[in-house]
Amino acid sequence: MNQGAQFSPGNMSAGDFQSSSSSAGGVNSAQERLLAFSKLGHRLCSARTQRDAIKIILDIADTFFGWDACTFDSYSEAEDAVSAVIVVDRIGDERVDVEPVVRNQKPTRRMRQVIEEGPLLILRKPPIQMPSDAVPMGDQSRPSASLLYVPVRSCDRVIGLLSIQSYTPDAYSVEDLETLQSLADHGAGALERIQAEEKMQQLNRELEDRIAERTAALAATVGELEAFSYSVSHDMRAPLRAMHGYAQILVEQYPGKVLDETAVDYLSRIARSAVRMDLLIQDVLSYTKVLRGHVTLEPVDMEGLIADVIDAHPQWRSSKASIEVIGRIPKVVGNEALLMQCVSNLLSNAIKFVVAGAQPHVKIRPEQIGNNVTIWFEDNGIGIAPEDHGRIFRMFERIHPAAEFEGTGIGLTIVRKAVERLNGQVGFKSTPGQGSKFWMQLPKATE
Amino acid sequence: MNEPILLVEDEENDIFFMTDAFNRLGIVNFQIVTDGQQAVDYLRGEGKFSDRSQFPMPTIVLLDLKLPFIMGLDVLKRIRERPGGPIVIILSASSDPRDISSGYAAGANAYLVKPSSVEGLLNLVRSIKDFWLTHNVVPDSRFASVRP
Repeated sequence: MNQGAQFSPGNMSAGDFQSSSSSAGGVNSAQERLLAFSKLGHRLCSARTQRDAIKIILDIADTFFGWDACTFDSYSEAEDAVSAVIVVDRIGDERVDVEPVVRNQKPTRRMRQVIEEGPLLILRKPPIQMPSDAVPMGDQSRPSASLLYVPVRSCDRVIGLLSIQSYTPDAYSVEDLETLQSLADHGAGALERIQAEEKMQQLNRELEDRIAERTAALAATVGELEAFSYSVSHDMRAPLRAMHGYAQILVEQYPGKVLDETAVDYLSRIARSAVRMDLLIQDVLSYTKVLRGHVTLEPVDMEGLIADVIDAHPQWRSSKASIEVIGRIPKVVGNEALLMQCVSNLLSNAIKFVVAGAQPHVKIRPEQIGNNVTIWFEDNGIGIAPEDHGRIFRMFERIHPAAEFEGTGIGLTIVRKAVERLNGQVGFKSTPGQGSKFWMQLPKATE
Repeated sequence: MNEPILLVEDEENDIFFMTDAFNRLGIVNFQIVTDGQQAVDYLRGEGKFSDRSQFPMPTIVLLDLKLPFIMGLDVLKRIRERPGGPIVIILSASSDPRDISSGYAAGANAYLVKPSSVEGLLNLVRSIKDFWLTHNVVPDSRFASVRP
C-alpha cells in the first residue's frame, strides 16, 4: 500500500480548519458539545460537496477532542472499493491538506475491520512502529499514537470511513469514539444527499453533452439536406424550362410547317406536364422553406395581408370568384411570409374546388376566443367526404384526379406546417356538396 | 438601342431561348460566351477576343451565376475591380436570397430570375430592352474615372 504519499503545501489552506492549540483535548463541556451538535444539521445542509460536509464534521471533532491528522475515504459497497476524499496531516506546526492517493482500491485490513465490525479505538504504546499496511500520509516518519476510526453509515450501509488521529498517546477515549460515531452518523445523511446530487449533476452533464452532440449532428444533416434540396430543385427546373419552351416553340412558330391537331395536342400535353412538374418542385421548395426557414413572430395585420394576397392573384378575379371579408380581423402574432403562404393556399383551394362552371364564393370570418383569433375560410365548393378527412393534410395526398382539379397535394401540408411553426392550429369542417370551412387559429396580438 | 450585349450562359437550352427572344424582339447586337473564363477574356479583350471591331466592349452583360471555370459572381467581382465597367444584369435560375444579396453586394445592377416559360422569358427580354436599352442612360467610358 505504500505508494509514496504526495503532499503539496500548495493545497494548504489555513482557513479550512480551525486549528486547536493543542493536538488533543479540545472543548469537553457537555453543554458546548450539545450546542455544536444542535448546529450540525443546519451547517451540513449548506454543504455542497462531500469535502464540505466532512470538513464540518472534522471541524467539530477538532473542537471536541482535537487531532493531528485525519482521513475520510468514501466506500462503495458494490465495488468494495475505497477512495480518499480528505487527507490532512500536521507537518511541523501546520496542518496540510495532502493530495489523496487512494483511488478505487480494496480496503486495508483495518478499514475492513471498521466496515464489518464498527468503530475502532486504537491506542498505541511507545515505542510505536509504523503499521505495515498504514495508508501513507503527509509526515511518514510519525505513526499515530491514538486513532479513532468510525464507519459512516446510511441505512446500515457503510458509505465512508472517517478517522482522526493524534500523535499524543492516550489522546482519545471510548466516549470520544462514541461521539465521533454520532457525528459521522449525522454527516451520513448529508453525504448521501450530496452523492445523489453529484450523481444527478453528472447525469445531467452527460445528457447535455449527448443532446449537444445530437443537435450538432442533426444541424449538419439539415444543412446537407438544405443544400441538396436547393440544388436539386434548381437543377431540376432547368430541363423543365427547356421541355416547356421547345414544345411551345414547336406549337407557335415551327418554321415552314403546320402541325396537325394531334401533334399540337401532344405538344400541349408535354408543356402542361412540364408546368405541373415545375409547380411540384416549387411547392416542395416552399415546403422546405416553411419547414426550416427562420421564423420571427410579430404582430401581423391580417386584413392588409389578405388584401395583398388577393391582389397577387389576378386569376381569381378572372375566374369571377368573390372573396368577402366579414367583420374586422384583429391583428395576430405570426409571420407575414408564412401567413401569406397559408392564406394563399387556403383561398386557392376554396376557389379551385367548386363544381365545374359554378362561381366560387369565399367568406372570410374572424372569431375571437380568449386570447386567440380564429379565421374561418368558408367556401361554396364541393366539400370533403368524411372518409377523406384524415388525408387532406398529408403530403401528396390528392382526393381528386389531377385532370379534374389542378394541384400538387402539398398546399395543405404547407399550411399545417406553417401554422404549427406559428404556434397556431388549423382544421376544417365540411360536408360533401355543402362547401368547406377551413379555420386557422393564432394568438391575438396586443394592439 | 444598338448597344452591344454580352450574354454569359452555359446552358444550351437557355442560349437557344435567349437567342430566340433576341431575334423575335429585333435585338441583333449581341455576343455569347459559354463560361466564366471566356467572359473574363472577352471583357479584357484578350486571346481570341482581342479584335474589338468583331467583339465590341458590351454596354450590358447578362450574366448567369452557375458557370464553368469561373463562377458568375467571380466574373462580376473582376469586372468591378476597375471603374467604368458595363452594366451587369444577373440572370439566374436561383431565387435564393443569399444569391440575390451576394449578387448585389458584388456590384450587380439588377438581378433577374429566369422565368420558366417561353412567354415569361420573352417578356423579360422585352423589359430589358425597354428599360436598359431604351430608357436607361449609360455613362460615357471617357468619364469613367470622374468621381462625384
